[in-house]
Amino acid sequence: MLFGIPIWKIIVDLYILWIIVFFLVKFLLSNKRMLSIAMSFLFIYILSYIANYFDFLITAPILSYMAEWMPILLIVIMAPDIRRSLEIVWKSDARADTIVMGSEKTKQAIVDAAMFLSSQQIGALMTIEKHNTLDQYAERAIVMNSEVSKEVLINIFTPNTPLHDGAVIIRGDQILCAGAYFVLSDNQNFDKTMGSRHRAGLGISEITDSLTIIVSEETGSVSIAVEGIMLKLNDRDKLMEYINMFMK
Amino acid sequence: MKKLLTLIFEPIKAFSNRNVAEKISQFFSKNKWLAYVVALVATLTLFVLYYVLPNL
Repeated sequence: MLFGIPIWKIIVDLYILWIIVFFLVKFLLSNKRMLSIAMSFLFIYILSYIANYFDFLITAPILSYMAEWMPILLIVIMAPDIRRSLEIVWKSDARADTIVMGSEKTKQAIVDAAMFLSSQQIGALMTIEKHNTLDQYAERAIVMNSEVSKEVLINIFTPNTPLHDGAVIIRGDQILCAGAYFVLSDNQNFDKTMGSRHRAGLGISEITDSLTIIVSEETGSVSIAVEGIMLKLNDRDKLMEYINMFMK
Repeated sequence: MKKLLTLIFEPIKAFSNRNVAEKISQFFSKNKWLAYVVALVATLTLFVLYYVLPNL
């Protein structure tokens, strides 16, 4: 017995608490916007504690009221971010030990296809998987399991064909699927006129550690999205350099 | 100086600074084991608050 309570009860209680706290810590760290808002909420909780401790006449009841409503406020304001963070927390550890990156031939085929599609101003979206699994997107797309080749990639994105809309997911040396749809990024720092293909590429880069190559249909420009950052690379060598770095 | 003034006059803004959140997030992603430590510290703090202090 400890403090009049059976020890096993305390241990189980603490273990459950630790699981919840650890999940919460990971959840907040996975989204910077959430973290910054959580920090301001924490500040208000501290103020509320101080106000209640010293029994301030005005601020104590106001802050207590605020502290009670803040969790609901957080859920309402941050609903899309919460969904995204949960996806990261739940998916981030998947496939960590079974990573297979593509060969030189695959890299070459991806770059060749991207440059060709760019020259023809054909829109394309190619996502290369790394540690985080993209199975949940592949399941809803058209499964291909074919070897990566320039010809297949060009054929997939040729306009007015059934597979041209959506993204191709590449795992190792294989095209896992075509016609995959991703959650669009709602990043406010990007141009509002940016198309949905670019937003989709950016969206998947924000929630996974994949690299996405985006070819614009309007301008033929080639961009890559990785770690929530988009870079315009119209140079073949630069694109190859980034793919080489990513697929090490 | 500017940071100090912000902290005095706009503490909530200073606390919710995106850069601070970014630095914290980066630090934790470099030191993954820290998340376990933080969770443990928070758990122990709650243990003290709920089990130890009422029985003192």
